[in-house]
Amino acid sequence: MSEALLELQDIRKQYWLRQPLGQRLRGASKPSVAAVDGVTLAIPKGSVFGLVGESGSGKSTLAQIMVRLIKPTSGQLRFRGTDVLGMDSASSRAFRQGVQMVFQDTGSSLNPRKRVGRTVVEALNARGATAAELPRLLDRVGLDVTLAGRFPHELSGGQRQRVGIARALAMAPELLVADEPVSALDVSLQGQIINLLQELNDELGLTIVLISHDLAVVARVCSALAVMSRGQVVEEGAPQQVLRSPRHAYTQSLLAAVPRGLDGRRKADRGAHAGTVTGTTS
Amino acid sequence: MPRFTRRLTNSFGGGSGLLGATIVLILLIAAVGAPWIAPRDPLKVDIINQMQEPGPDFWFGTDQSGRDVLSRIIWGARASISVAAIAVMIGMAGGVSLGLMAGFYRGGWIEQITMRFLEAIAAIPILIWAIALVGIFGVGDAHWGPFTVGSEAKLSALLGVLYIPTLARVTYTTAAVESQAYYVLARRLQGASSPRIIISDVLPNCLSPVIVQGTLLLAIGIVIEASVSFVGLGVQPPTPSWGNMLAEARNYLLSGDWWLSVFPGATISVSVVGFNLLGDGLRDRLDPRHATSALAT
Amino acid sequence: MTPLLQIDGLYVAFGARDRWREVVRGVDLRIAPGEVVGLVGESGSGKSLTALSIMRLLPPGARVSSGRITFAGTDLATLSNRAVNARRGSDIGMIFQDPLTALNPAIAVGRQIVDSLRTHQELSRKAAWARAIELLDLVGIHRPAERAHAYAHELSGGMRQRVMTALAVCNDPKLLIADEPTTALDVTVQAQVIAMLDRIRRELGIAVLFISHNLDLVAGIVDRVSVMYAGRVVESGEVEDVFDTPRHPYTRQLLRCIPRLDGRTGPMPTIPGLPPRLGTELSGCSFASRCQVAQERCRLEMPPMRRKGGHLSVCWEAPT
Repeated sequence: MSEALLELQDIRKQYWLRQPLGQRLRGASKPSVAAVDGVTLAIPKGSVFGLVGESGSGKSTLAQIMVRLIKPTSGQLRFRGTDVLGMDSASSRAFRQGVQMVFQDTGSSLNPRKRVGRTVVEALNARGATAAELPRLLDRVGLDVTLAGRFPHELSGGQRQRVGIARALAMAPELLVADEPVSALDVSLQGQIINLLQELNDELGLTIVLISHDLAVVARVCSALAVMSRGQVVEEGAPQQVLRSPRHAYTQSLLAAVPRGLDGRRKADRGAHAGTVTGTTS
Repeated sequence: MPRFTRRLTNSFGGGSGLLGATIVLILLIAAVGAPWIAPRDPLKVDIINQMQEPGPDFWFGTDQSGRDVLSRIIWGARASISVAAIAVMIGMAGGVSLGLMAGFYRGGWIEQITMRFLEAIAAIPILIWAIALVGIFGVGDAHWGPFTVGSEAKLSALLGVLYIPTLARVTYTTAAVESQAYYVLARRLQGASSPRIIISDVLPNCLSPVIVQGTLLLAIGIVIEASVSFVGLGVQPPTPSWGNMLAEARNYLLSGDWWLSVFPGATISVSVVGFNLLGDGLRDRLDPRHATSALAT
Repeated sequence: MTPLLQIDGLYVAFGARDRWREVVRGVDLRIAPGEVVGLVGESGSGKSLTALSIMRLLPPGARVSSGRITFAGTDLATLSNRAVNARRGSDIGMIFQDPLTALNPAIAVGRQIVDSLRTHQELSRKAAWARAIELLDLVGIHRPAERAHAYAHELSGGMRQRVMTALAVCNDPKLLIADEPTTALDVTVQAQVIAMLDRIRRELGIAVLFISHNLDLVAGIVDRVSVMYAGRVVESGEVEDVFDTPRHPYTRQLLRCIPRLDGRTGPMPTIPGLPPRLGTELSGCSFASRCQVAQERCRLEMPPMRRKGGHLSVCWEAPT
């Protein structure tokens, strides 16, 4: 078992809600919402680690905690064995380079007023590299160099995601957190991005945390996965294990809810026919 | 429609925008080129020719001192445009900075204090403020140590400060939204400093609504300058301003000398309409440019 | 049996003045009373626009440039806007992807149903409220009498979809058009909403046109399915036929791409390239550039429609 690149220990993140004056005067304690409620995970180096959760599970908050965009309320975060939360600014910079993020393709993952080439070059410059590396980087993510002069709205969703990956790679990270990287893409095109991430993991040894609500995608490409619900990790393990014998009720309901195409229908029809035979309505 | 005309029309968001732009252009030419364009000296008193009706000699007629109304209107553009333009520039400088800060540092004390304070100022209509402040600071040149500030400059400065709340609010709404965008998070992940992110990432995305608002504030500025001059607190005669020309024409409203009030009044109206059309056209042009297409199926 | 809804040769175009681009190109569709038909396609396929054109709900800039839409024997194009309006909400109900924009945020949800009931039917306020609560119960909302007074933003995504469904079926329509109703929902909620839709349509005997990009999802509840690509229907037939023996390369390749919980690992199948940009004119088959079995003539000539029983496909390779 390879060592852990990123370790999370009992991470909690609470958000305090605004309290009506009446309650505050009465001395009632401030209401809060725990977006992340005690998560302990170890991301092995060189793995593709999947994090599955639906909306409200806390996966996006956890993602931003992993890259230190958000500070957890309590808990420990260790990168390459070193505590990351109590860092000074010099070590902070090194960390920045080590961990990067790829976002969902909503309208705001790329600056609409900047040409995509410039967006990536900015990242290169931030690392201390020059624009000379741009062509190689774009090629690495499967983008034609001529697209560098385009604005985000002139590109397709898949192309924008590739730009986002290039931007993250420009910082030469060791760990890439991909938060729902393909949710906004057509199914027939999702594979292009997922396969690209897989290639980067194979060829560069880049550790990837893949966050998605799509259990099937995660199970296919990840070597290990965790299932999140309501701020907690409810199940963890190798994909085959989790799929075949899910331990937690939430995982079971998740598996049951995935559309099964014709198989699902045939089962239902059989049930319906059985129903009519015995006189019950479907 | 020939290609060039169509592109020009599209740049201003349509036919009415183009009309607005044309009007504004004419005003600018008048303001800047007054010394060369005006047929006569606007201050030259010429009693012999007093109260002439508009005709081939004096296209817009003459006033009670024999001064050429057309030339006075052309020179008057200077006062109106310069007061409005300088005010908008001051408003933008102050408003955009405050709006960006308040929007980026959302939830912080900067936002609370700035926005509340600005809302307080904005609660009182601009014209009331303008008159009140001019009343306090007085009309005429102000002397601050070695500097002398003309009454027009004072008015521009006061108006500029009054414009800050509106421009700050417009910037703030966009800045608050854009500051939460993923591309800003990405920049933070690269280690970019907050000031750098604000200027190079957030600001460019706030410019469109600011430009549109600025154009509309130019229109308001013209009206305010005219109103303040009308009540005698702005540009002082004999320097021509559309407002003080209307003030002087008050006495002649019912005596049939229509050209004294109609021309200045119409000029104010047309100018305001022009800026408004331009602003609306720019809004149409700038806003949906990056909007997601309804074609996505 | 006469179809309830019949679309013949529908063309929808986007544009302004002299530049029109066709985004729906000659779509035929048939729905029998009580039947559930799926319309499947990815972005840019034109499936939503096809559905919106039935009820003249096309976005500004789009219009039906040719074709015929017949509902219950009436050619919808011949009706006035007012007549079409009368049908919306009574003969034909529609539910959309984002219930937040479809529901009025300022009016309680029960009240919205009541308003629709009283607009299309002669009901007293009391009777309408009683019916509204019945409907909320029908769509699976717990404590419907209480919930009827809630506002849209107070409800979860799944509940909003249920309310929208209640609103769509409250006047006993003959047809329900569901445009990506579960796309914005979590998988667990999606399963519940689909089950609810299936139950409702059986109980009320409504025909359903179900639009989605998710073939697996659609296969669970529809009788027949039409697959769209770049504005055209490329395959259609009974859902078992299309799934078990797809006759168009796009359908075949698309089916292969759907991630399944089958324990397989390795690179995910994908369709290389990109779908053609909306409105681009292409000679020949629009899928040719990405097709694995494309031949020279596919790029030059539009393939004919080949049918085998009720199973149609538009491909040179489909066996006759």
